Amino acid sequence: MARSSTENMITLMSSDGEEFMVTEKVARECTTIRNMLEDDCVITNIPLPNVTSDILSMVIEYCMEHVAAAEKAAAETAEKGSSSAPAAAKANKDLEEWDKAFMNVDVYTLCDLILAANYLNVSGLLDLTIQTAANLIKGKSPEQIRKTFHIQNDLSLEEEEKIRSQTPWAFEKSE
Amino acid sequence: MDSKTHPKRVEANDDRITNLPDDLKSNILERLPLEEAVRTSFLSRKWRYTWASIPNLAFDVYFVKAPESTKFIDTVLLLHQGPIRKFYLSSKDLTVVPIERWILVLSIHGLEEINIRCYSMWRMPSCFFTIQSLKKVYLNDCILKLPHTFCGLKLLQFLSLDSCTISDDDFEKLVSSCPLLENLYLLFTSLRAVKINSPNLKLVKIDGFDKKYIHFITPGLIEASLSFLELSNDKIDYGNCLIDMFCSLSKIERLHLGCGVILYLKRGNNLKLPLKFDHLKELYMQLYVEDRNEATFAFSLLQNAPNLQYLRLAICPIGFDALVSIGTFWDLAMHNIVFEHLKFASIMYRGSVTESGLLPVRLLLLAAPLLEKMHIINYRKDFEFLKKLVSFKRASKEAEILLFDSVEDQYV
Repeated sequence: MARSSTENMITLMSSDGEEFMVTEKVARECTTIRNMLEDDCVITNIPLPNVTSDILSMVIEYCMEHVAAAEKAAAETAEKGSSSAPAAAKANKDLEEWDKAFMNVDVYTLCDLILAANYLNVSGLLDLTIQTAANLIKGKSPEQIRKTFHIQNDLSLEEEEKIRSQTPWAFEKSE
Repeated sequence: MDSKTHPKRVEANDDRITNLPDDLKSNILERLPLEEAVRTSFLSRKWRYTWASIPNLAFDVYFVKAPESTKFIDTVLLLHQGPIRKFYLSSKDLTVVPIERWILVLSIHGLEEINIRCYSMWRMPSCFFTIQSLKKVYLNDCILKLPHTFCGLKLLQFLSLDSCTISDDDFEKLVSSCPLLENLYLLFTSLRAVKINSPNLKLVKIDGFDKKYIHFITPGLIEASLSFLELSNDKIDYGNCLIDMFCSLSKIERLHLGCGVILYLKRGNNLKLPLKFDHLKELYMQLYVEDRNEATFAFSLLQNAPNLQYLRLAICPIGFDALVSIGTFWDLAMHNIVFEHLKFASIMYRGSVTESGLLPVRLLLLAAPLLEKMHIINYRKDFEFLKKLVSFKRASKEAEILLFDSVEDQYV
């Protein structure tokens, strides 16, 4: 990505010691980092002990894409005086498609991304990952959900029976 | 779920979703239909009560009929743990009693938002008026009666009453004792007089009101939208009620004067407006263009709105006492008005397009030097109309005129 040389660069360090150079603008997509930068504006090196390098690189990829999309929209608005509704709608749709493709990950990565988005406070990514997880649960029977997320069923038969009798309407449709 | 773009990280039997913090799990479950969220209690021991801390409960109980849906909501409220911030209920066939029982439960759980759509009349229990955590309230077909001890809802910001029954005095007291109230929606109300004394109110919408006594003390109002039911021939003393309201609109930015508002206004004698609307940017008016009183009011408003940018007019065909000289009246007006900041105008014809229906188009084209766009809607593909339209002088070289068959066509 072409950037002006005056733009501040920030180094983010993952839990496994890998370093990622990003522009301040991209880093500011993470509210947690934005708050750090506002407290201490000369900081250039931020260790993130809760995020592994593979997950951090994905978070950065997400932030870069969304910053680029916002910059493109702003540039178009500035050029034409006002943004045209069809162009804005298409840009939104493109970004949605990108998000959808970005969410083509296994459930482990998905859960790690939820944790990272929560820790770094990237609201768009948190919303996206949480919704993706909800979509994976929606419409499935308990057995299918366990299989999808590798959940071990440790309920005894008595416990299962109790849950079933407590909330019978919840099981009417699935079985 | 294998990824093509990212490396797959396989660790057998690694149950990461269960180990997510509770608030994140509850955030996931919140996005499911409630019965599916409850069903996750069957996944494993750790999941058994995860759903029970969902702070936002939405019961869209169309999936089961009345007795089961009542049981469903009862159990959820019984098993629920922690605060219930939002309670949403939409049902066609619930009876009155359980709703009152649920409000009782909700009143002790830090409720912030309540939205009940229940299509038979029900009575709000008095404990509701003590829920000091309430911020947003949407109610349908509800009978409200303030308890004598009522001392306001101190955090309430949003109130929407649709087809609700409340006395004039209780309504006035309710609104004036919610100091943070910013948005008020009043739809098809049974009120005889709407008295709103609310210093922080920013938006008010009154729709389907049929009694026509309105009195506002709302110095902070930014957006107002009024539409009345068609006027009935009742014997209310109209006085200058609406003018009273206009005095309270000094900060107004968006004003929507829908069905019957101007018609009502002209029943009062005072048609001159007492102040300038310096902040008014968007205006919608439904207007009988041939009626001199309505035209006078419309001009008065336009003349007092120097910063208007968006103007939408709905033109009704024949006024009550249409004057032969109405053309002269509009011609005179043309010399007295300039729309200095107007960028967008739309004219929509309701019913037939009469010759006088063209007068506002001519005026706007002549008196708006910065006009960028004009939409003309529902002109009935009238050739005579088009012939006249192209002959009008335009003050703005940039003005683009677009013709549409219907309101929806504008957005295609």
